[in-house]
Amino acid sequence: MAVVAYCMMDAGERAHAPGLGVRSGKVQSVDVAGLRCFFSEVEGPPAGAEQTRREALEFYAVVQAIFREVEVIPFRFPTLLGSIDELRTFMEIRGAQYLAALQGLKGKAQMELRITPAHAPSGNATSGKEYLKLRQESLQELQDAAHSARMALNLDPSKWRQHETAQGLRCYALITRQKAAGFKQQMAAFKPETAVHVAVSGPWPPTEFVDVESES
Amino acid sequence: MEDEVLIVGSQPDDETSLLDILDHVLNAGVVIHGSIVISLAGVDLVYVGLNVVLTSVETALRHINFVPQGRLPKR
Repeated sequence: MAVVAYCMMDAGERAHAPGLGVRSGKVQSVDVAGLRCFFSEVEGPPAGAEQTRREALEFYAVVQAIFREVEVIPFRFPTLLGSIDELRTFMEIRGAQYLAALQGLKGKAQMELRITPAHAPSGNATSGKEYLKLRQESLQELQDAAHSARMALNLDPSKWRQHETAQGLRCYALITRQKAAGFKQQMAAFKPETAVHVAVSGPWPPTEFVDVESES
Repeated sequence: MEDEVLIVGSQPDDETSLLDILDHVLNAGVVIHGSIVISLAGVDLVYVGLNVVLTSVETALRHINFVPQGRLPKR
């Protein structure tokens, strides 16, 4: 049996987890040094794309159910460990850092913006040099739109992260959970000055703002 | 083309698109990195970039295919 890890929370808080999770495995928890980690036992990793997709949704349902009640730091799906002892070991090594991160993110959530070009950035390029120039201009438009969005939301740079992706820009805003609806209203009224599409989603657990050194 | 701001799901648990959910759970969250050197029949198989799986050697052995010496296993 393997262990699929869902998410971590401050064991001092209260939350109800669903009874069943991935592959109808019982959702269990283990507490180590003030940190609670939720998991299920499963028979190995998903076999194939369709099963992965189905189980990713089951995983999401568990994390979201807990997140509705309390701040969590989810694991990426699928995070499989060989045993509950391995999960405990991870918590013993990293638990204090994640607990501190959770306590620092109390009451917070993450909203996400996907900013993509309104049209193909380099469809008319006739040379490699022109292609690169058009792509750079497209990226600049995306970055300008992200900056405008942050200013419209009156968000401090410390509460904003953004990354380039193959499709465009992904932006993350750290907000107070209660302000999620207001955030969406503000974004619905936002008119980008450049030719971009902006898709807003959330609230999500604030994973982009968890400042814990990576595992190695 | 018209500029557009699309609000995806007023309630994330009800209306967030399937794509957003899958994108999120597969790309966000804590990653437990690990690399495992497994010795099998005298051949060291080195897995690199096990970004989403941390498992015991026993569990890994139950789920991998043996790769002849000199070749890395497929991801």
